[in-house]
Amino acid sequence: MTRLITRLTCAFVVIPLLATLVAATSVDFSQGPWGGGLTLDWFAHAWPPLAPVIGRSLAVAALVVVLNLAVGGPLAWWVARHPSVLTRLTGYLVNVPLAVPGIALSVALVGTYPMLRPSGLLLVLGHLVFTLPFTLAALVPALADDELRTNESVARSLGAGAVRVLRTITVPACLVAVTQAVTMVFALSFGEFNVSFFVNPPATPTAPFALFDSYSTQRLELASAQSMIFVAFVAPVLTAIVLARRRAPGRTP
Amino acid sequence: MSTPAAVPTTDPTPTAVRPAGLTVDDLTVRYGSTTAVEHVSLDVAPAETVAVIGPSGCGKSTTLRAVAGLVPVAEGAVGLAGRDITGLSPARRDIGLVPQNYAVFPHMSVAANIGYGLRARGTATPRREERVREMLELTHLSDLAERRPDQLSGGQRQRVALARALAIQPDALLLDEPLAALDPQLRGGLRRELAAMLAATECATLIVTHDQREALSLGSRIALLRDGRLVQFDTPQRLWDDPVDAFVADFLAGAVLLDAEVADGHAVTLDGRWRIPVGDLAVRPTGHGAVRLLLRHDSLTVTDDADAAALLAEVTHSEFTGDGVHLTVRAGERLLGVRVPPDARIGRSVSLAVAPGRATLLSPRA
Repeated sequence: MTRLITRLTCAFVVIPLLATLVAATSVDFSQGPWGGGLTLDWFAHAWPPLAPVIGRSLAVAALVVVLNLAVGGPLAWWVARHPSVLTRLTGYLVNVPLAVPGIALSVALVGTYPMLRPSGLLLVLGHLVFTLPFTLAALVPALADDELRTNESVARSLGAGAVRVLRTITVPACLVAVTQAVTMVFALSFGEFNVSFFVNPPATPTAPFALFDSYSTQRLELASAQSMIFVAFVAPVLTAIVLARRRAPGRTP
Repeated sequence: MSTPAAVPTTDPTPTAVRPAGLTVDDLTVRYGSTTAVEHVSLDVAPAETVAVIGPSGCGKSTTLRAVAGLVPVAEGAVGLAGRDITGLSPARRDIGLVPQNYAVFPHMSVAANIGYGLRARGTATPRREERVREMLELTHLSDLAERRPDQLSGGQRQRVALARALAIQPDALLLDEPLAALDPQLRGGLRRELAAMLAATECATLIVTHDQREALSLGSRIALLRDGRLVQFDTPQRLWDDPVDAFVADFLAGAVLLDAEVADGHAVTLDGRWRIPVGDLAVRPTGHGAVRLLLRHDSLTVTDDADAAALLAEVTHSEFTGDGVHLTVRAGERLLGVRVPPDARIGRSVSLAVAPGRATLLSPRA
């Protein structure tokens, strides 16, 4: 039964992707699948205008990942290692943006920090607010782990300073959690539409916005080809998430 | 030596002359408003092993963590090899720590685990490699040097943790429940193995355990804690023979300690309801004040003679132990233990008599 449900779920996700691929490789999809024959021309047409947009989205996602580690790492450490009413409250507050509609979050950000919009910094900060809960969700349990804390205590008793303990014990122990956080944040930022649509200036769109624009104004075949290129960029990240999760239970008994 | 109470605080300043080995003076540790350890004093000489024992929550692990510098000391002082280390960070104490789960670093090989402390201390590579080799040989791990911890058994991981702690040549070695994580079938052999390895070291060793047998076999002295306080600190033999109170007798040996007095050649106990001829008892001097009667599981027998020396008791529980049946009986307000043959016919009440020479009358020195 479980296997059937798994296969149905996979089919539910894969079939639209295959349909998009068929549209992207059809000369004229209005005549049906591969109507007018099979072609890769739509990919050739899709790539030149999409390339800078993909580059911009990759840069934004990379920056959001770095900021997540810089802000989320210490925050996760504080929440995990100093349990109190304040840290619990912080944990709840960080999750609030998940429950707020993207349009409300975007309007609030644009209204409060209009001066940050032209440079694109507001988009990055918007993504940071939106992705931080996922970083904390991955890192806090790893940092709060009793086994890790005992290992750190032993390392300190053996003569290791704080930096060495962090580098040789804490980071290796949290590597799976860090990988999960990084890949998840990257994927979320790369594919994020709501905040990007409202916060980002239209002249410098991100990839999801460009796809929306293509589907609205261009031929279906061209938009489908752009979608497949987008998927090709995000697929390795999603694969890394799966591999990281598979490694997660492989701890020392 | 008998040390039933905490030793008064000594001057904890760095200039005070401190003995070699490990000293814990009037140690108090608090977690918020809860006092986990209160005025505990003990000492461990170099090459000596002291076992800290007590029921769960008695403060024994907290004592160990305070000595290691992992929890702040509220009052008192910790000295090691003549130094006051109370305020030192764990990294500067020269203490080897083996926690209950061994904390073998999962992403490092056995050899890298053992060499971790030496690398952290900047030991030159040739010396480090030599020391790791020595430790691998001492702990019989040479063939497993490149293995990962998840490829080791519990006993092997324990030896890795021990080798790692000893590699830095610490002044003190702290072991927290060293055998608790192992299967009961393995503990006997590994206990003997651990004792042999500890005997080969020169550092002061403090073992925390809740297992009486472990404490009796590994410790040259035993510190018994209850509710954060030191109850008795003495050699295993003295604790066994002359417990300071009923708690020590019960916890360490499963024995019963009854207040008694001697009158007309009889030991009188249980509010005068039981009179035992002193001639039936082993009489030993005690350093703890009053006359008391020490009863172990083999001290009593069930008798058919309801004479004056017999005690009538109600059977509350019986437990088959293989070679016999252990009865728990109630005499007045006291519960006593008595072992009978497996085929003995036992009713709801029994008459108890002392097995000659098996019960001990503890009598203060004149």
